[in-house]
This record gives sequence, structure tokens and C-alpha cells, in this order.
Amino acid sequence: MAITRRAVLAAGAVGLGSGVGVAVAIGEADVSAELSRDERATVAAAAATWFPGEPFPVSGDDQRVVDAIEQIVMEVLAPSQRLAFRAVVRALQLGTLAARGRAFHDLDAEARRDVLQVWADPSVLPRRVALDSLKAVVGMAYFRVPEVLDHVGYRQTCGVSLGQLNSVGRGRA
Amino acid sequence: MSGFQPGKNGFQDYRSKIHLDVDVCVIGAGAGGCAAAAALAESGLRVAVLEEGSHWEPRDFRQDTAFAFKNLYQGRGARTLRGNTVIPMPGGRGVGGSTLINSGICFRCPPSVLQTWRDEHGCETITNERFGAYFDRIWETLGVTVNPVAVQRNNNLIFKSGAEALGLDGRFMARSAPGCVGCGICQYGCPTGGKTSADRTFLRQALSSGTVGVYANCRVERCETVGDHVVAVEGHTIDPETHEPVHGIRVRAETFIVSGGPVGSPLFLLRNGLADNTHCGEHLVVHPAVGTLARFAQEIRPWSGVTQGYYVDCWDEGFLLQTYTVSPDQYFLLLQTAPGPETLEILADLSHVASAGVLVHDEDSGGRVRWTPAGPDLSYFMGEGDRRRIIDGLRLCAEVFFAAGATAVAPGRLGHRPVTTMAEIRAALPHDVPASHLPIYASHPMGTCRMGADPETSVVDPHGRVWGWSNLRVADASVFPTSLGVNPQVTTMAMGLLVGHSVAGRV
Repeated sequence: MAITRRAVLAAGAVGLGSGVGVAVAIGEADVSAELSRDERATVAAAAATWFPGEPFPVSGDDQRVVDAIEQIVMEVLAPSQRLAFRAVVRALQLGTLAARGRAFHDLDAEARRDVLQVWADPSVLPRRVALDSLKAVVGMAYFRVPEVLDHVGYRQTCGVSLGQLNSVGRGRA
Repeated sequence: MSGFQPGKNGFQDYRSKIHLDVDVCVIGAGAGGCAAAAALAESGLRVAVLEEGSHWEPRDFRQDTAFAFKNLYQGRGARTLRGNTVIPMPGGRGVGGSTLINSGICFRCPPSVLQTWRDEHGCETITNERFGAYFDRIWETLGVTVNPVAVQRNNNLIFKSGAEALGLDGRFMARSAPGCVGCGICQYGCPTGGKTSADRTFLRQALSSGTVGVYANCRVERCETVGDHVVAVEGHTIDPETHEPVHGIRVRAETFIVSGGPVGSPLFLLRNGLADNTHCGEHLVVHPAVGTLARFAQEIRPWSGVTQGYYVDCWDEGFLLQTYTVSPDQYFLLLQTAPGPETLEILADLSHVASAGVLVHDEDSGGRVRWTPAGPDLSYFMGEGDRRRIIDGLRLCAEVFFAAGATAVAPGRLGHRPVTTMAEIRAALPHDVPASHLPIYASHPMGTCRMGADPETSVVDPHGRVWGWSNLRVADASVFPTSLGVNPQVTTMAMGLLVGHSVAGRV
């Protein structure tokens, strides 16, 4: 599929809040298709840039994280949001080709951090929103991994398991 | 499925097109719709409550953001406002509406706000006596209480200690969560049933009458009118897994009450030509808020304890400070530092983080809800005064944290790393920080179908009746003539009671 960089950037900038422009830019076929190898590589690279491992026990490019990202994209996002998400990923994937001569996932860690830092600049609001869309999905996926939650201590909510929680007081109705 | 069935109905019950003929049809089962249904049931009226989302029981909820976004949030958690910045605006979806996923904070509407509604908007039905009685009833029905210190835990207590050190007017918040055990995950749906959401309280009251039927997984899209009368509404049953329409639904009623919330209600009216956009969809206010984080040497475990338990009252300055807690993935999203070792260190050390934020009373900001060929268009423009009040609130929030012993505070400005002194906070938060450089969030939409005595300046009359229509009402936070300045669920329920009683001829 022919995609101009400008079209992808414009589409990606829309973020998850709307998918109309994105549908025009990247095509209906992308509504139901699973993430491509390049898309998986891009989200894995982005997740590994935020979570390279230490001090956490799992790196963002762990297959469980990437699988969870794909599951969220395919099962949680609405079709229009899915298109917008893919546009963001492609903008990240291809945007660095023009600027740095390599796809995002082929950059070294420092260069990837630089790219995400540039995208985080609030002076360019649509790009920052696009980054937040990607960051939201990566965060949901990464903090599903049990070892990560254990490392943070989050699984010990209330000091009891959810099973126990479900058996205590039912409030007042 | 033909014929009205009192009780709970859901997607599994629907085999074919649904035809209902009732006294009153309530569209939307949030705080306003559930309270309206309870008020109508007192008079023995046959009421069908239609809701796009599902019925939920505590055992159904999962401690997972993605699950919650897909099943419990409008727009799958991605609803945003666009204007001079972009603002996420979550809202609940399901029987119970936003009360499924809110923190259960209860404030009576400030008397000065009610007086403004009477004096400046002609809302003569909103008397202190009537609303005082409604608030008492809501307190009783929801079992509103201040949770004990034992379940507040460190995230709330550390902020309290800082506020007290500064001599600020702070206190624990009353909440509709008498059975709260302090899980800190209200936003995923309360897994213990300790929170008394509208579906577990007002809707149960309504259902106990035997004259109310709740139809979950039904989306209303169109209406049929004759003269100044709405005759029927139509839509589809919605597959809860795919969110796709399945069977048709048609409901005839004597009266229709739209309770789709400040986004859904104006969109329904506008799309069906029931109101024009002179005021319908306009005057959106949202209580813009910004959260901040602080690091402490001692363990906080912010996810343990009441989700939002303590506040500092700066009403006269136009804002409140409120504690909050979210899940680790949401802290990751909130933490606006660059990728790298410092961000990782904070995330790995979340058990030593506390969080609170500022919520402002929209005074010079506003937005609107419009329907366009491309779909809903939600916009909001932050005014200079409100932006400055956010800055003032963030500075005070940081001061509270430092007074409580924080070793570092994230100033709440995009891209800024945590700092260790108030001088650095003030440097990071000058009064000219643009709105787009603040991670603003809003979860209290209000005002898009505002109530008033003058059809030239309002959408509904003081009984919630849509101007120009004899049997069409609105009962939710969209009818608020102004921003409240405090969390709105109680006032929304009071509006539901008012409109329900009005339909039943009791107002």
C-alpha cells in the first residue's frame, strides 16, 4: 500500500480520539488485520525504549508484552481507534526513515529515546497526543505482566487476593 | 421479544426485535436515569430504562485497565476534548453509568450554586427545601459516609499531614462507599460491592416496585414525533462483546426522559432535530483537573486505601485539591518525564509515591458537543483564569507534599522532572504555562442541555422539559446551568429525582 509520509503523519497525529482521517490514510484492510511484522517490531522497540529491563525484571520487547499490545489493539480498541493506532505506529516506524535513514526499530536505544522525547514535546500537540495513545497501550500491556506487577508490589492490593475481595462485604443497597 | 418485562433484561434475553409500550421510557441508566426511575416507580408508573452498556455485578470486574476501558468506559476510554489543548474525558458505560467507575465522592451542591441557578437562570423548582430533602434522601439511599482512617491509608493520610502542617482547610471526603475496604481500584468497578453505585441503590429501589424494567445492551438512536409529541424511540440491541447492533428495538411511551449524560443527551437531541444548536450542546463545563506525584522516603503504597479520600477546600480560590490513586499503567501515562533511568526509577519505586491533584471550577472556560458527518465533535477551550487557578492549585499541592516530607514532587507540567524545592516548583510552573503544557484531565462533564426559565437561553425548562416538546425531558448533569465546583454525582441524582417527580406530577 502506498502511503506518503505526510499522510501517515497527519493520520497518526489524530490519535485515538478519532479515526476518520486515518481510515482514508491507511485503508479498510487494516481494520481487521493483525499487526504486521514491522508494526510488531515498532511497538516492541517503543516498549523497550520505555522499559529496557533493569530495574524491572521484564523488557518491553518481551513477547508477552508485544502479544498483549496486539491483543489490546485487536480486542479492546474500536475499529476506528485501531486504524488511528496503526497510523501512529506507522508514523513512528517510517518517520525516522526520512529523518535518520532508518526505521524506528532499527535505531539504537539512545536514538529511540531521542525520537520519543521529540514526540513528547507539548509544543506540537497532535504529535504529543499520538505519543500518549501509544504510551497508553504499551502501559496497559506492560503492567499486565505478573512479574512486573510483583516488582512494583501492586498485586498485593488490600493485602488480600481478588478472590477474597469478592467474598467480603456487599455494601448497602 | 415483545411485551414489557419488569426486572433486569440483558443481551442474552433478546431473540428478536423488541417492542415495548410503557408509561415512561428513560434513556440511559446513569446517576440521573436511575434516580429518575426510582422517583417514577414511587407512583406506580410502568418504566422502561434503556442502557447501551451491560449489567455488572462485583464479581464481574477485573483489575485490568484494558478490560475496564472496553467494557465500562465511553469510547473505550479514549473520549477526548479538543481545543487549545487535548483533554481526556472518561465517562462510565453500563447500568450505573459513571457511578460504576467513579470514586464515590459525595458533595451536596453548594447553596451559592443553587441560588445562582434560581436567580440567574430562573430555575424556580430548585428550592433549598426540595434539594435539601433530595440530598438527605441520597445520603440515606447511598449510605454516604466518611470511611474510617483504617481504610484511608497512606496516600490519603500523608496528604492530610501536609495540609494540617500548613493549616489548610482539609478533611476526609464523604463517599458513597459504606462497605469500602480500601482496594484503591474504584475506576475498574468496585469488586467488593462496597461502593453503592446507582445500579445498586436507586435502580434497586425502582426495580423493587415491580413496575420497572431495565433493558441493558440497548442503544437508542432515533425518535418518531407527531406535532410537539415524541411517540416512540428506536434503536438496536448491542452485542456486549463486539459492540455491534443486532436486533431492533422500538419503545412507545407517554413520556421520554433522556439521561445519556452531557455528551449523549445533546447528541441525541441534535441528531433527531429535537433541539437546535443555539444552546443544545453548548456551555460544556468539565472541572478540568491536573494530577501530580510526590516521592517519599517512607513506603506509601498509593494503590492501597480509599481511591480518593481527602481534600483541601480552596473553594474561594476556585479550586479543590483532592487525593487520587490509579493503577501503575496510569501512573506511567501520567509521569511525563523522558524515557530513561529517572523515569524507570520512579516507576519501579511506585510504592514510595503519593498522588493528589487540583480540580478547578470552570469560570472562564467552556466547550461544546456537536454532531458532525464524521461523528461527535467535542471541544473545550481553557480560559486564562482557570489555567492560572490550575497553576495556583498545583503549586499548593506541591507545598502540601513538601510539608508532608516529600523528597521530590513532579510539578504537573509536561516534560518536567520531579524537583526538590518550592523554588523549583515555582520556576517550573510560572503563570504563563500554556494549557497545552499541562496534562489536563476532566471527568465531570456538565451543562450541555442547560435548564432555565427562558427558552431563548436554555434547552430545558425548570422541570427538565425540552423546550418545544410536551413529553420529552432531560435528567442528568447536562441540565446544570453552570459548573458546580464539586464532584457532581449527588446533584445529578437530585436532578433525576426532580424530573422523575415532575413527570409523576409531584413537583
